[in-house]
Amino acid sequence: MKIKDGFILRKFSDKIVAVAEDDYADNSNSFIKMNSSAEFVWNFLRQDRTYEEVVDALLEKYDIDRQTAENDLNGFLSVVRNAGLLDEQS
Amino acid sequence: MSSPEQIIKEFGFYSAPVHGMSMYPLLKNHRDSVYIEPPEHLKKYDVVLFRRKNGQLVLHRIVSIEKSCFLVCGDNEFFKETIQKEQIIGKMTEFCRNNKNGKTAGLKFKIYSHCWCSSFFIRKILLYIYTKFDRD
Repeated sequence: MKIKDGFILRKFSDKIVAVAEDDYADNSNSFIKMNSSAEFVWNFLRQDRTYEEVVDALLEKYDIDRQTAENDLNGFLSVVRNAGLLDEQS
Repeated sequence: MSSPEQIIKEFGFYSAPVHGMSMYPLLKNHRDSVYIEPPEHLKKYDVVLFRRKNGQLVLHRIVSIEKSCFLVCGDNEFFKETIQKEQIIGKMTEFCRNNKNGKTAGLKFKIYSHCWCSSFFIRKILLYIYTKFDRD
């Protein structure tokens, strides 16, 4: 799975949001607010990764157990999936 | 998909890419994005996001404040539009222009706003020159 092209992270004030850019801006108005770990996963998923790869990356980056990492990742994935920004075919 | 009104209510802010050229040369279609906060303490020169009666979302600048309404105009436009306070969804407090962040509270933005708004009549010439040399 990977994050679809056409979206970029912007930092405003203390917020991180994903906004559409270029030609995608006309078709999508997806709004996603993120925290720093979501930003990390977002950037990691700019390339095609498996679920396990993302969990392993989270475990390496943050001092958390596997269950917490999976819960966080599931929450993030459901938000991104609902916004239509997740490409699960690749 | 949630509307900007709902998002501002839920999160306290809204962010979106820029559509159209009405705020050019400050903001360019598809390239730039804006950060919108609830519309408090509105002043002349503030850039506000509002909804037209036909449902269209518009980002324009306040050029005059009347007793019960606001006169707004796009930086790239010459037609002033009257809107009610209830139509205003939020005001732009930050923006990302060509990958660089800017704040509307900064001095640079204030000087730009004043100069641009006071040049209403020579804007056509300025815009013509700017467009001609903007090869991006």
